Amino acid sequence: MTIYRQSKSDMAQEDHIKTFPMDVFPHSTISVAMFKDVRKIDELKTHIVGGEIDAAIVSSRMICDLFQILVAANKAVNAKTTGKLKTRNINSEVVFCLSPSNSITDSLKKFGVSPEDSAVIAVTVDDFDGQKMQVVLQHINGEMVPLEQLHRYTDEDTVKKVYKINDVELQKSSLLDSVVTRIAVKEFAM
Amino acid sequence: MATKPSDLSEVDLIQQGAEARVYSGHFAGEPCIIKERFKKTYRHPTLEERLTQRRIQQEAKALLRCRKAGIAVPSVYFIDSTNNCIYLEKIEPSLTVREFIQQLPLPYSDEDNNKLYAIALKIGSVLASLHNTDTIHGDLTTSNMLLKFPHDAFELYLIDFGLSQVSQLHEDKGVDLYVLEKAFLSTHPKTEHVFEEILKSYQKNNKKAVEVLKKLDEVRLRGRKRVMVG
Repeated sequence: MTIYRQSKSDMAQEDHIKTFPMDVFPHSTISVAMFKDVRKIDELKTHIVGGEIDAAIVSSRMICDLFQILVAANKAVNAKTTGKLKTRNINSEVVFCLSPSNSITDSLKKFGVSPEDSAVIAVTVDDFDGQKMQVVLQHINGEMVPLEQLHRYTDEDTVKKVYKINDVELQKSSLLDSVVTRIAVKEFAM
Repeated sequence: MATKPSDLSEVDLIQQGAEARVYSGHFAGEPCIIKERFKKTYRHPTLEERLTQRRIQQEAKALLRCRKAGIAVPSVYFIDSTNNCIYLEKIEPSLTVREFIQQLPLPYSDEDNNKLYAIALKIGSVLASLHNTDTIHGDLTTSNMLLKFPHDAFELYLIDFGLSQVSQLHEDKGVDLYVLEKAFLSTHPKTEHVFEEILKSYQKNNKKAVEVLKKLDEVRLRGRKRVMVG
């Protein structure tokens, strides 16, 4: 396990954690942080499965914009507040909501972290005192980077493949618009 | 539970219709349009619930189907089934085709006619693609078409798919065009030549245009509702 160091550089890193209020759920917030050069993913996964980490950890290859995360997280919070969670908890629900698939296993596999990932995104819900993200920082063996760098790690070909977006559609739509529409309409139209 | 649009901060009611209220607001930092289908107290609650749910589902399905076919439609951000709301991308800067035509003074100058023809060409080809994917809009009017500017390279967006359905029948496509013709000519006097242009462009771009236009002729004679004899 990484030892938690409260050095100067770590303090600066915390500026990269961004928290967003939610328009539709005024009592909830979403916090997002991104990490690169992440090592020991297997250990990280143990902490996720073991429940020490109270956050959704997502592979950055599948994310083309912060907005994509906010749309999925909003959907997850909606499922929670209406008592309609399809997965174990709010964190796995965020991962599940990102996916166009109705299969939970498949969604967690494609959008969760895997040993091939080097860049990951952590998402916490209602992390009002920042404690949840602090625990993530303790367990992630990587460097926190600003969210503006998110696009560098997107694997557009895989995004197109997984969300089934073809070139005809992209003549009139941005990749992000196509992705968020699929996330939003999933159980209504797919 | 999700907040009702009327209780959200910084929203404006921009339209109050018979079926829905339309608000302008924000979703996760993006400007958005919120369409709320409200309850009709004169309907039986169970029927009401089913109808409202189905409309939202039809709208979501059609928006995805059109998007996949390369037809310009708003993105969907969130569907709130508790309050029967759908959160959509706000197309801006934009004008409805209705607003655009109404701002042109009659009689149309040659320049205005050319603008109208350009829009007619676009409407015809968009409707042709729509029907090529077997999507019936169900409520085609010039208020349900948005022109997104910049002007010279405008894009035509179709909106309001709450009455849409999937059908391969030439009959249904013919009725779709008939509804537009009625709405078009009654809203915009002296635009017969423009509507002609829409149909010509439709014919050029739709695979089954001959059959559909034949149906349109039949529908014109008898009206939207089918004659049920025998």
